[in-house]
Order: sequence, then structure tokens, then C-alpha cells
Amino acid sequence: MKLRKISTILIAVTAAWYPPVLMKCIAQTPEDFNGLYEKYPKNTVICTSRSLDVTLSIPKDKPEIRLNESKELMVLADNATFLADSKEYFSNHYDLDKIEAFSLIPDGDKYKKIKVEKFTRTTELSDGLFFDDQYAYSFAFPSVKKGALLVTRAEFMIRDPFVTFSMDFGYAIPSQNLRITVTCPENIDIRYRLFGRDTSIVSFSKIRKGEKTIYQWEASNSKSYIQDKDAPDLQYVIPHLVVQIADYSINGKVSKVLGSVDDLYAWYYSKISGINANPSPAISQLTDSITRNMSTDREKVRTIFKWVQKNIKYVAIEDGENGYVPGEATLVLQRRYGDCKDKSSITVAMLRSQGMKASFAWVGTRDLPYKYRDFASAITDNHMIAVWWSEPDNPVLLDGTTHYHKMENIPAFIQGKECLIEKGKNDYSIYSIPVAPPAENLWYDSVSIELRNDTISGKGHVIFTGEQEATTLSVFDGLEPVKLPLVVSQQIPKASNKFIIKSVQHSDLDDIDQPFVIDYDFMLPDYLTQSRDNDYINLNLDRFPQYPNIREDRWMPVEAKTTMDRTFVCTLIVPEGYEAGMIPENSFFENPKFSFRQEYVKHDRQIILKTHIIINFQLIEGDEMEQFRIMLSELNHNLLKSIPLIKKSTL
Amino acid sequence: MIRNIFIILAMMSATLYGQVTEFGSYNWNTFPVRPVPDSLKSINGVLITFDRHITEVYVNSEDLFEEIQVLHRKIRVETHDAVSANNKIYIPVENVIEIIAIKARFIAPDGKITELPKESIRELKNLDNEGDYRTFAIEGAETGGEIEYFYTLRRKFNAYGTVYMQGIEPRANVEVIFAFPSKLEYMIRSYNGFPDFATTTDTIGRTTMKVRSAFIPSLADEKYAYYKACLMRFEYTMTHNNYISSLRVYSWSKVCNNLYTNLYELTKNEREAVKKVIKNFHFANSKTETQIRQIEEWVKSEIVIPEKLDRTPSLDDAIALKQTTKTGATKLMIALLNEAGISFELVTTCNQENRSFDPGFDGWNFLDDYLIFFPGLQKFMAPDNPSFRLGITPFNYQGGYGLFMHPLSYNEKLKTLAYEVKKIPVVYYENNTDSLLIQLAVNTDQMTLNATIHNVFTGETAASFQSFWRFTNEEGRKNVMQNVFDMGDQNTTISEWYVKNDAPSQIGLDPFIWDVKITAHSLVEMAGKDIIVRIGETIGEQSELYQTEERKLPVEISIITNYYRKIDFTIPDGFTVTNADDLKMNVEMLNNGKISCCFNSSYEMAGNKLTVLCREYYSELNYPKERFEDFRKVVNAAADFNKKTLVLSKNQ
Repeated sequence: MKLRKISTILIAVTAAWYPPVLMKCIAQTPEDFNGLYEKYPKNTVICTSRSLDVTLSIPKDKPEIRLNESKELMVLADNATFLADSKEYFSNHYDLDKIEAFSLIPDGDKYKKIKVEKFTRTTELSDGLFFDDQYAYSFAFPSVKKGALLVTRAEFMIRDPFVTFSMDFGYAIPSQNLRITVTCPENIDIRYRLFGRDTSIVSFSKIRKGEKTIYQWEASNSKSYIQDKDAPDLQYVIPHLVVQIADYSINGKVSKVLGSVDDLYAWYYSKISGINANPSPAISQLTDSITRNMSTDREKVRTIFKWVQKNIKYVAIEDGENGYVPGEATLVLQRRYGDCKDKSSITVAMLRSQGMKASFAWVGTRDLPYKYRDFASAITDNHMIAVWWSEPDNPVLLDGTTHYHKMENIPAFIQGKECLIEKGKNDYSIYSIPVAPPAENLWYDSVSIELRNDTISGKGHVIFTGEQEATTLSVFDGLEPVKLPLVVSQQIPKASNKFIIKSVQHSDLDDIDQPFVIDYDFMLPDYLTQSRDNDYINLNLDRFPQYPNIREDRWMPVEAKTTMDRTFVCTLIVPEGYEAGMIPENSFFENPKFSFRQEYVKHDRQIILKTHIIINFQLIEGDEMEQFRIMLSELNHNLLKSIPLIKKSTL
Repeated sequence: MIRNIFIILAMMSATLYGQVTEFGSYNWNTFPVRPVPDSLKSINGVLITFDRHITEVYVNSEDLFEEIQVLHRKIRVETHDAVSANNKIYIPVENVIEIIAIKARFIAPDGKITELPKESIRELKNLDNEGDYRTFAIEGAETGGEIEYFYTLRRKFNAYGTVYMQGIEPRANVEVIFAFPSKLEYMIRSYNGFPDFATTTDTIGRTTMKVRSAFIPSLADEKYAYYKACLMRFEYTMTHNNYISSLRVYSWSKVCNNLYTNLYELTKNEREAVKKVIKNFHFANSKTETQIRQIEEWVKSEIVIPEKLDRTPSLDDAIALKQTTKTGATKLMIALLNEAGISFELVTTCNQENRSFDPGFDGWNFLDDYLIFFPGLQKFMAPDNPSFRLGITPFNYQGGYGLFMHPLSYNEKLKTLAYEVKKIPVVYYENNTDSLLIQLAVNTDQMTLNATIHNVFTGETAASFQSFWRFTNEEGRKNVMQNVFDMGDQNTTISEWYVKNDAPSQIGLDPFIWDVKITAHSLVEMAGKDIIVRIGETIGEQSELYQTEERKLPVEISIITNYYRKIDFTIPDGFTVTNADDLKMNVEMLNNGKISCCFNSSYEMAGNKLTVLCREYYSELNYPKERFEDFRKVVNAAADFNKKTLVLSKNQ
């Protein structure tokens, strides 16, 4: 799924406590830092400074970007020897000229400098990638002790003017002085933008120095940013600056780089324009054979899409130019594997072989906070899909990297984002991908239970559609039958973990166009509460475990991975010899973005509880998050209601 | 570790005879491939239909030992997931002198063969600092076919090693061939049901040790088990190199000589640096145990053991730069203890989670990790692990064998270590305690439960917190507490907390103590006019073994612990507890007539106070799988206690 990206500048966060980093420390003394122990009593380490100085120039026929990065961490606790191991990450777009690191150890009123002698270059595989051209330098800081400053400096060069660079003004640990400068000659124009929340901590200045302009952004005393549960990617909240070259001129001739969406599209188009230039007999034969008896285009597209989902295995490779250029459809067919670009390439080729209009399209997954219309950049997207034009203005998005989504279901991880659809050399469209309404992502679980002595037993019937179906199918596919009971108990957990599945039946795993249905027989020993006079049963067997306990002081937005319409119905047959006591009151909470409704109905000897929850948002914060917290708290309160079952003998 | 230090010795010892290898030109058809009977079924869609491992030792043109390694495997992939999980192959080529061949192909269900083009093989340089790899993705793969590949590598010589032969995938047609010049002798031993090797010697001076297994069943991991240690495997070691002498090589007595040289002997600079460190301690008349702790604390708090250091610096450098390797840390500890005149034994052993030390296998295979044993104190120390201190024997060494060594001097020049293979004792379970004292009150307006908690940990259970607590930021600490004191559906608020004895230097010495005030929001239920309190959940979620599948692996408990819980519950005015007898539980597992592990709970009622007492302990490290059912009952008893409720009936 990962499209080749140059994205943000080196150095990823290696661990919760260790951010990318560097400084101006030599002139300082240990005394200058004394105040930090009181200021950060709960931190083992902080970032005292980090700076990135970027110099743009045109030495010959195109711009070069030279970067000087410096970071400095201060150790605030004894025995924090775990800070010694260090690693700096680089993409192959950066030519590293120099890296150095050293410890500054307090020695009376001065610092003693001990250099890192050895750097080991390693290849790094990002999660899920089969091959990656990212690399890193590992090293160990000597003499890590309280009061030590750990300094890293790197100098490197970017020779491709399309590479975007960025600077974060916040990390997992608190940071003090953060700065980026961009020194730009008159014949280069840059484009920049601040993203994230809290951008007001960043101050900007621009000064002219001779024929150069120096842009500077600075922030101090940035708080620590740590990922919260059910939160969007940290890039949504960390204030950060993205900079790229808009255009440059040599001898009065202007060359556009990345000043607008048009520029970005022109660059992207150059990467795909030569792909599948000639019709391939192999692709045509294959497509003809699988769509032979089909009369409508929609039927054909569905068949082609399913064929790609099923037969082209997803293998992600990040390797230089491969990062941008899709593979030829014939090669993908021969290999039977590929990444998102390869899968798009073969899908487009197969559609076109049947005379249908098809396009490549670029899209950013939801973990990226950027949009083309706001700031068109090489970091706006990281994924590619295919598009079938069912009508001239109606694109049908086909993400071949999915395996359990039917054609009509756009995966949740790109919903709400923009996609940039290719329509020829100078023509494209930006399409806002709709967010699926909750009703398309059903989770409908209905159980009927009865009491046998002191044990609850019952039958359940659960229906999944949309995103819920895709997630569930991915767990069930290829499962050994003996594992079914355990997996069912994990997928549809109930209020007690003593949830014993006696038997399971489910619908056809391959038929992704139909809802996925599971029927199960179960027991819940020890769930019933019994006392001298009464039994008590809580019909809320489904505890809606998502989003537990949103703290009152939470500032991080809440993200819903997918919208959802979730219903739980529980029907109890009151056993002979018992009368049902007080039934809990009905309740509800309404908000356009989230709601619940809980109803109890009594029918002869039956008591039916129906809980209906709707999640209809991708991201909420502020007042809406507060309302959501209140809803969850009320829902939680309502789940904690039992029905007394009074033994007739005691009446 | 010891593992890599002395290979050079064997390499130097070969003489003269260059040889031609038998397997260097291995190809698809070197041996016929036998078909797999239809009765064999895949697991998770995967069946390895053929698995051949060949190691051939020979003497190269420079009179050094080298080896040819061949791995040839054929995998039937019957599901989408099976293809995706098996179509990416990574071949480690660290210590490889020459890649002779890498071949791969896919055989479709209809018999169509797709060969892997050479240019599809990629190079990964020093992947995650674990050396170079070659990698490729199988081309043309589809559900129902077979992935087949082999590679032939010319490698640096390895005198001993461990090879695991079992996994989650069932394997058919398994074959291992070990070939070497007859002037060498090897010892190979099979474990966990892997068949024994048979030895043949031919007329041209070549010995072959071989084993064949028609089928190795799938083995899956289970809770409370050391999965890896249960897998079929074999251990091999060279025992004699008759090119140079008829004496044993790679034996325990040999390793003693080497360890003495490498870990006990110091250069002049090293000796001086060590003396200086000891001088600064000002031991005066302090007790031996205090001295040991002081030395250990200094090494573990001052000297860093970075993961990425690939060379052990001299002790004087390590002391100056405050960093070294694990071996370097052990050497430093030994030097400081010797300098302080403290007597001890050096122990080498291996992680029981991976395999257990075979006291009958005289080789270097099990000598992975170091411990230091102090006979006077009867205590162990893990010299290179900053998460432990004197008195804590890490659980994964307990009950296993180790090589115990102490210096022996024949004369001024000839010094070595004497050894004895002994068991590392199991720590008494009462040394690892987890005591939880809870005071509970219901807030009937808010329908919440307020708890005041005093939690005391000792021994290794305390070490698990003391080792990191001070290095974790506020956020991390809160997360840990949310997990430890989670009372129901993660719906718990911690309002106050206080921690005592949280320093690494207190490991093995002082208990780790928490005093916490929390509010549980989901443990009080309305039930008409009555109230139900989910009191069982206040002790935190207990591990369970509710699902029933046939047990395959012996039970391993890792840290054997003694749990004690006391809950003081205040019954609110106007209510009566009407189901207290439910709290009485007693489940025991007996071994040789003694309680081996148990869970029991009882209660006392006095006025408006209900006091619940729970006792749970595990006194033995492991049980055979035949005892699993009894063990399961004890584990599930604690999980069943989680379901206990108190019914507070409204007084009429």
C-alpha cells in the first residue's frame, strides 16, 4: 500500500522517549542547565535543542538542497544508560556527507567531549515492506550519565529539487529550542506551510541578507507529544513545517517544481505516462477469458477487481524510482505480485483491454494530514489506486491492495481524503472520497438466551457488512476449524471472558459481495448472579469495548477508524418458577455524529433488550469530544443494570 | 559470548589436505524428490512437502575448515494467507564466503513452472544490524501450488550449533546430512523426538551422519509453555580433530582454559584501572554482600552495554568510556570481585525458554549466558543484565543445568578453571510475592467503587518494576498503573499514587510498594432496588485457560509466585449482603501428597465489614502435560474469582 515517498526529513522516532534531534552547547556550561532538573522532574531526558539549517542554491543547472542538522539531548536522571543506543535514519534521497556524535560530560564547570568512534550502517525494513532502501546509522553514546549532553550532527545533500523537507516542533519528550532556517537565493522560490495543532508556538521571520533571503521558524518549550488511544496519527497534532521548491530560474528561464497542484500533477504524470503504452495480448486474453459471459461493464469490472485482489499478492517494495513508477501490467501478471502501483497498473490495463475508461489515481491514507487543495506536495499521498469511470463524472475507486472489500466499499483508510485522478497529459481531477455512512458498516449481533440451572446458554446470530465484514473476514480466512470457537469468542467478545462457544457456522468466506454471517451456540457459566432470594441477570452481554474512558483532560482528538452501525439484541426467556423484577428504563443519546438508544421490551415470558449505537465521524475534538465522553459515560452507566429474577416461592 | 570467540582455533588447526566438496554443485536433481502421501494435511494452508539440510565440512586450499551449506525446501500453499506468508524469502548470508547458488521456482497446480529470474534477487546490506541478506519474492505464485527453492552457500566454519527442525507448519520428507572428513569426529544428538543420526564412513575418508524423517507434525505455541524448547531439534559439535591430535576439542575442560584466558587474565593497564575503581569504594570492614552489591551497582549503573557494540574493549577502555559488551561487563565484574578478594564461581548456562541444558552433552552448545554464583551467600548474580541484582536468579535459568567454574592453579604459569555441571536451584516461591490489600467502599449516589490499595511486590516480581520505573516518564508510569490496577473494562480512574523502593539498586533487597487510590466506574450495577458489586474484578484481570484444546506442551510457569489478597469491604447502610457464601473457593493441585499450587478464598463478616481473603501460589516451575488439567483448574479458579459478585439487598 505504500507508495514511494520522500516525505519528511531523516530521522524517525525510534522509541517513545527518543525523538529525532541537535544545538549550540559547546559554549555553555553545566551550570546553565541546572534549572532543567527542577523544570522537568518527571523526565529522564529532554531535547534541549534541535536545529535544521537549509541552504538552497543552483550550482549548475538545477537546485541543490544542503541540510545541516544538529540535535542535543540532555540526560536528567541517574542510570539512564539505556539512552546510549542511538540510531539515525536516512532515505536514499539524501546523500549523507558527514555524521558525527559525541557526549559532553560535566567536568567541573566545563564539559568534557567524548566522541562516538564507530557508526554502523544498517538497512531498515519499515513495517510490512518486503524491500526498503531506507538506511540508518547506529551508534552508542559513551559515558551516558546524569547531566550529560548527547549531541548528533549530520550534513547531507538533496539533489532532487522535488524532495520536500520538513521540521517538527514537538517530539515524544519535551523540547526547548527548535529552529529551522532556509537560506534562499533570489532565483529560487519556495513554498511552505505549517501543519498540526498548536502552530502558534512557532514564530516566523524573514530577513534579506545581500542577495539572499533567510526564512526562519522558531519555537521553544514545546510539550511532549505522545500518541493517545484512538487518536489520529501524531502528524495531525504536532506542529510542523513543510517546505518545498516552487520554482527556480536560470538566465531568466523559469522552471516550475512544486508550486501548485498543476506542477505536482505534471511531475506525477511523467512517472506513469509511459506505462502500458502498448496493449498487451496476455492481459487481453486473461481479461477476455474471465469476463467472457458478462453483459454489463459493472459485472466485468467487479470480476476484474476480484481477480486482482485474489491473484496478485501484495508485496511492498521501496526501491528508488520504483517508489513512483508502476510496473508494466504484463510484468505484474507474470510475477503475480506487486505493490499498490503494480496492482493499479494491471487493473487499469485489464479495464482498458475491455474498452472501458480507466485511470491511475494518487491518494494519501488517513494517517497523512495533508490535502492536495491545501498544499500539493510529494508528501500529500502515499498510495495509488485504479479508477473506473462508470460515467464521465462518476469515478469508481478500485483499491486492489484490499482483499475483503467488495467493489462498492472504499476502504476506510482512505475515506474522507482527496484523490488525484489522472485524465491525460494536462487534465486531472481532485475527487473527495466520501465517508461511508454508518449503515454500510453493520455489526448486528442478536442472541437469545435461557437459564439452565445456574448457567446461561444461548444462540447468537451476527451479521457484518462493509468495513466490519472486511476486518472479520481477514481473521477467518484460512483458519483451521479447530480454532473457530476461540476466534469467535475473541471477535465478538461478551461481558464475561468465560464465554464458551459450543458450535459455529458461518457464511461463505469467498462471497465478499454478501454480508458475512456467523451463527453460534454458547454458554456463559458464572455470569448469573445468585443470592439467597433472587437471581440477577444483566442482558448487556455486548459491552461495546471501543473507546473506553476518555479522560476529562484529554486534548488529543478522537479518531474513529470507521463509521459504524452496531446493534445488539438480547432476548431472555424468563424460566419457569421465576418472575422478572424491575426492568431498567429505556434511554438514548442523540448527536449527529454519535448516538445510542437502549430499549427494553417485555413480551409474555420474554424480555428483549435492544442497544443501537451509531458512530458517524472520523475525527472529533473539543466540544464534540466532550459530548462523546458524556455519551460513553451514560452508555457505560446503562450497561450496568441487571434485572432481578424473583423466585416465585419468595413472592 | 563464548560462541564466537574461539572459532579461529579450529580454523587454525586444520592441516594440509585440500578436498573437493560433494555438495558444492547441488542442484534441483541431486537427489530424487519423493512424493507426499495424500493423507498429510496442511496447517493454516501450509505443508512443507520436502525439507533438506546439508552441511559439508571440508579443508580449503589454505588448509582451513570451511563448509558448504545447502537448504532445499518445497512448500505447498493452499490458501491466500499461506501464499502471502511464504512467498517472501530472506536468506542470511552473514559469514558466507561465496553464494554458490540461489534458485527458486513456483510449481502451479496445473504443473506450470515459473522460474525466478536471477535479477529478481536483491541484496539487503546489514539488515537490522544482523548481517547481509539476499531476498526475493516468489514469482507466479497462486493458491494450491508449491513454492520450491534451494540455496548453496560456502560459509565460514562453525564447530558447533543448534538446528530446530519443527514449527507450526507440518513437514514431510525431512532430511539432514552432515558430511566431513573422517579425520574429524562429531557428536550429534537429537531432542524432543527428532530421530537419531546414523553414521557411515566411506573408503575415501569421508564420514556422513544422516537422519531422515517421513513426517514431523505441526507444533503450535500454548499458554504457560516454553514453545521453542519443546520443538524437535538437534545439537552438533566437533569432538575430535585428528589432523592435529587425538585429544577432545570443544569440551567443557577446553572452554575452561579459554574462559580463564579471556575473562580472568588482565593486562597491566586493565589491572591498574580495576585497582583504581576498587580503591574508590572504601570497603573498610563492610560485609561481603555489601561489597558485592556496591561493585555490582557501580558496574550496572555506570557502564553501558549498547546493543550495537561489535567489539569488546579492554577493561581500561571500558572504564574510561563507560561502555562495553555483555562479555566485557562479565569480565569487569570478575576482575572487580577478584580484586576485592571475594570468592565466587562463574556459571555459564542457557535460556530454558529456548532449550534446556543437557548435562550429558559435553560441548559448548549450551554455554550462552553468564551467571556468577557466590557459594558463601548461596546467591546468584546476572553480571551483564542491569535489570537484576544479587539474589535474583532470573526465572529462565532456574531449574536448568549450568557449568560452574572456579580458578585452579597448577603453577604460576598454568592456570585454568575447574568445572562441575550442577543444577541452578529453583528460587522458593515465597521469595516472589504479590500482596494486595484493598479497602473498598461503594458510592451509592455515583454507583462507583472507591478503593484504597496497598500493593507489595518482592523478589523477581518486584524487580520487573524496579528495573525500569525510574526511567519511565509520567505517561509511561500511568499506563503501567492503568494496567496493574485495572478494575473492570479499563474504566478506572487513578486519583492518587505513591511508590516506594523504586530504584534498581533496591532489586533483590527491598519490596516494591504501591499505595494507590482509585475509582472503578463499571463495577457497581443497579438491579431493581438491589445493588450488585463486582468484587471479583477488584483484584485485577486474572489469566484464564477456559478454552479446551488438547494440551500438547508441558506446563511452564516462569516466575513462581505467591499471591495474597485481602479485601476489606464496607457494607453501605441500609443494605445486607445476601450471597457471601459464594466467595468461598478452594482449588488445589497436589504433587506427591503436597499442595503444589492452589487458589482459595474465604471471608469474614463483622458488623458492616466484610473481609475477603484470597491465597494463590505456584510452588513448582513446571509440570508434565499429563498434569495440565489439574493446573488448569487452579488457574481458572483465580479467573472464576473475577466473576464473583456481592449482592447488596435493600433492607425492607
